[in-house]
Amino acid sequence: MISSEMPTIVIAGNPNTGKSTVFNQLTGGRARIGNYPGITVERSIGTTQLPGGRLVRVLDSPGTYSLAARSADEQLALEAVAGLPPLPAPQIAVVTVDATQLSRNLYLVLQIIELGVPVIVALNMIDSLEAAGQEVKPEALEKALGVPVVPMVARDGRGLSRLVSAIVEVLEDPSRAKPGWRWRPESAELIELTERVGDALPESWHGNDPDRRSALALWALLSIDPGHDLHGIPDELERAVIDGRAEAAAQGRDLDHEIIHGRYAWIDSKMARVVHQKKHPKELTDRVDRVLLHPAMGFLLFLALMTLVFQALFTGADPIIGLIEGAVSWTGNVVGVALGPGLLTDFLVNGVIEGVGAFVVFLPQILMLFFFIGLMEDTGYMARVAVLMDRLMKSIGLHGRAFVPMLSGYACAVPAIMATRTMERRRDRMLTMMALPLMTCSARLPVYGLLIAAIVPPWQEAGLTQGLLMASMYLFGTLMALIVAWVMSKTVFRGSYIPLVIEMPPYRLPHWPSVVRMMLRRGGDFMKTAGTIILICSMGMWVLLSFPKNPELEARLVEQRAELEQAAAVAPSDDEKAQLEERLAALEAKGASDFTRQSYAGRLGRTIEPLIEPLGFDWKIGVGIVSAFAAREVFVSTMGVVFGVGEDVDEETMDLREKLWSDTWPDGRRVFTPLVCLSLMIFFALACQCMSTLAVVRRESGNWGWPALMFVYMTALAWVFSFVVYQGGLLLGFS
Amino acid sequence: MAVEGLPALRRRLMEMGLLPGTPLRLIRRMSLGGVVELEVRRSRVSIGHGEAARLIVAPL
Repeated sequence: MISSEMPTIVIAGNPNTGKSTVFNQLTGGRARIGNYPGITVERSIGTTQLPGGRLVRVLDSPGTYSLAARSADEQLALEAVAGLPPLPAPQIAVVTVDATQLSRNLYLVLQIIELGVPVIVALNMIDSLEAAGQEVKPEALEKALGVPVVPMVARDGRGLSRLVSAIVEVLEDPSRAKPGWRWRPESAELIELTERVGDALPESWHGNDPDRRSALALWALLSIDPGHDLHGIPDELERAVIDGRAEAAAQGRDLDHEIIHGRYAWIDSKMARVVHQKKHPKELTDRVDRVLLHPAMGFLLFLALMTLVFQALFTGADPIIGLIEGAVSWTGNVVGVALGPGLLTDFLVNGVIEGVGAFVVFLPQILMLFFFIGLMEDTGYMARVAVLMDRLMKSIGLHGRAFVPMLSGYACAVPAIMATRTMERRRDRMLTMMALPLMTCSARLPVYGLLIAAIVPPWQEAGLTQGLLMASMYLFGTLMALIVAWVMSKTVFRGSYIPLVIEMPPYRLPHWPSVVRMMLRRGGDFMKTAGTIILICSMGMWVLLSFPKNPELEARLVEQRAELEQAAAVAPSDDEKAQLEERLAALEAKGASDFTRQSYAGRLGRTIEPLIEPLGFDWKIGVGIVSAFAAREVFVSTMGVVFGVGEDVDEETMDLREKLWSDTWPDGRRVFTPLVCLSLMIFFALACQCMSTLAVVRRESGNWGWPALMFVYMTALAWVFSFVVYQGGLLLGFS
Repeated sequence: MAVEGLPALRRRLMEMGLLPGTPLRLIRRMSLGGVVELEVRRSRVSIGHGEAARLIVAPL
């Protein structure tokens, strides 16, 4: 941990005011990303060395228009800025302010000043003032507010050194950033009410500082409603606020208006000397929006853009993924040759190297997706997406911004789940995250391909039915995701409805360094946290598939292999030699099959057979389901191994298709009937067969409860649907 | 202008500077997205149709 003597600077500000740019400039981009304690709102902590050598800790806070909170995650802004326990009390709050929207930004500044926290205003985007047709006088603002104001263009680093000197000065003499005067409640009734609410505040919040107490009482009056979603609010405080508000309402007073209007009136009275409106602003944003938000054209352009993004994720990433897979198997071979056969080699190659490969392959798609998202956020287009999609998504209980993550789910749930961060509210984020893995991801394709091929006899070509079946599986996955989202929005995520207010920032050219930095940061973050979990799971899967060792089986294999190799070495003709080599390959495949059948995974497959038999699955499918937990497509290679065809197979492999076709239950009935294939596809559409998804949900939600819920609900859904399809199909006379 | 009902939205809009008496400009109505875009104190915000219907406004 960081020592407690190190001063803390918290960065606060409205959304889209360059808060994270200022944070990155101050910390040089070296920040730890973590979550706020007990809640999944991301926070960044970094340190910076001031001139003179002093180290300070810099803490980011969630972007907000006001400290007043309607939910636990909005409450964090207050906790971070005021330094409510257990968060450290900041020595300074640097508040980023969009110079072109001064009065609205100053509302937050005023709230922070009221708390008695020393404030430095980072007056950002002064380069946009001219385009906005305004003139702002920083000196006049400094005088009006009584705190230091530093004009900045944070993107270019302009004003940064002045900000640093201001921080040094305020650390030396905090009174420079603490005005003695500010807006205070005026009416006797409001003063009396803040006193009363102040008495109900926990002492640890205000430390008996009367100004801070009054500011926190005002916060409580604007935040606590009956049935609120806040956390850590003592009953006494809740009662005091609700009684107080009811009393005021009975007297015909409007507390919201009194407090908010009071602050704005104070701001407006100061603004006349600070801001000069010169001419009408340029209308670039208006012109662009006329196209991008056009009911027909805007929608088509958005769809075109999404097609591009999707195409890039779905096929563009393929060559890079191929390279990574090639590199992983190459490394495995090199290590295998260097160390020679043995348990350690097996562990290193199939446990560790494959395990690292298992999470590195996600990187290309994650980087690509975050590059696009970064661009959309940075240019201001993301707010338009939310608006374009709001009605459609709202009808199933989702946020307009959930569209991009949901769509990315067709490629892969892992980057898509990470992309839910574009939503500010935890409820929206978690809801999207929980429904998203039902979208038909690319890892399901090989499984569907194999099973659809298995429906027709191996000697028959695939026809139109197969194509339609594939399309139906896509539709089924999408519908289920939407239905689950809708049901969850009415149950698990019910909560109070918070109507959406979306700010439409003016369009800007993308700032490439921030886009790239965010992309790399997301990638690195994934590797560190989710990657570790995936690696551990991969090692676990390796143990399941490689143990227990069976010396008898191995001895027999070694003996037979030696025989064949000897015979091949002295084979008189090339023909005979080739024949013997083929037999050798078959022997290896059978050895692998025998081994897998008696491995822990094989035994697990047998153990769950009674559970999956009602779905039409035998233990061999059980082994496939168990191993597919590593990644869904592993089902195909596991089937190859179990059926003794070798692991290098796909749905085109004739041997495997023949084996599947002729596979029977002990009583002679065929296992892979069309009905079973359909039931199995439904199972794969719905079941949470993906440890990486669970790992990344664990990372994003901050605890194991959410991935556990996801695993349970998806598996239950899969079982029930497969059961209905299989048993229903049998009843209707299908096979 | 004034906002009827929906206390949470009303408070949030007020905090964003849309107080009774504040001039506002209607930028666009989007039937497709079901959203109305307003300009208040030089910033643009979009709110749902249903919510916007509860704003009480008078022409300036």
